[in-house]
Amino acid sequence: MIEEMRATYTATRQWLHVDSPAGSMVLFSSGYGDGHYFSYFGLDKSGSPALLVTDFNILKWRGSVQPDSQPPIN
Amino acid sequence: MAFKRLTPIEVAERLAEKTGLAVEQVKALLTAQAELAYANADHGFAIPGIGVFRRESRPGRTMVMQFGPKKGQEITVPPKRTLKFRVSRIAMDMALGSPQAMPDLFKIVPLAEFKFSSEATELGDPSIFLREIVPSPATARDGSPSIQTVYELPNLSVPSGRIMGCDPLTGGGRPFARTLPPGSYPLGLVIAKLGDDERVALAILRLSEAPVAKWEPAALQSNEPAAMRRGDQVGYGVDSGTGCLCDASIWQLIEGGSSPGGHRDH
Repeated sequence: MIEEMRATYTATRQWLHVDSPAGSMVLFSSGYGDGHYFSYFGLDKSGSPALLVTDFNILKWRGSVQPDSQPPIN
Repeated sequence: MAFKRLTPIEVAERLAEKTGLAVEQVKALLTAQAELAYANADHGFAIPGIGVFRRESRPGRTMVMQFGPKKGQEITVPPKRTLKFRVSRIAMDMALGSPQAMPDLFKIVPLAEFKFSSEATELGDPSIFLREIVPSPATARDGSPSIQTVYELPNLSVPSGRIMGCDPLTGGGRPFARTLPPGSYPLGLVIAKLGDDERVALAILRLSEAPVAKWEPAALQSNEPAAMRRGDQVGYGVDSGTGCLCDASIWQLIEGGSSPGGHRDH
């Protein structure tokens, strides 16, 4: 699987999509490397999930609510 | 003595009864299993149907004490080796879930059943992923400007509706508490360009076309009663430089089968 992932060039940003009978898995390089990363659901006005975002602590973006981050962009 | 823990000899006797093997054979087998586990712990040793036993090393480091009598002093934390045990998904389903037939723990999933692809399309109009999320041009956490491109990967198929984020190379974890309607969802990776450096900044799964009204941290599924939780743990640790999103059920295939993700590779 790692060999497959290497095929997607550029060391700092690689990915691999894996499909199986039990659904898929997508692997990707995580931000600047190791760390603890948070995910967020974006909910629509009825409370149903519309987005699932994993934040690798690189960009400022709206969903981030981590205390050490900048205030959400509006 | 209904609640007494079985002694190792009793375990061997019960296993002999269940399998028709001689007690001495079972003892030899369990002894060999323990030896093999110790010898292979650096790579993670899977005990079928139970979990993965792993030896981890943490390098030494220096830190400044934040409180106590040594406050302000720099101390050296020596390198440390620890043992970790991670309960397998099958064990969780069998021992915590509703009663069900024992799965085949040795079922080999041919690698051919896994399809690998590194295809992705750079989106000219990435608004399906970026609207409401990242302004253009984007700004990095440190305030410096960043250009981002968005690649759309093949849809993420989540037939069980249980979705999970984790470090795929050190193993599974718990799915998110929120389940999804089973289906296949568009996935975008936002690549931030910071000078010459390119990094995966955000992984975005589009679950519906509806605009986002509010954000919530994605809590993990918990087996503890709600009253015992001290703030649901969110997020996951990455030790291999690799993150993932997946249908939580895929781990049953990976752990029970030929393990395409079985190696730890830095």
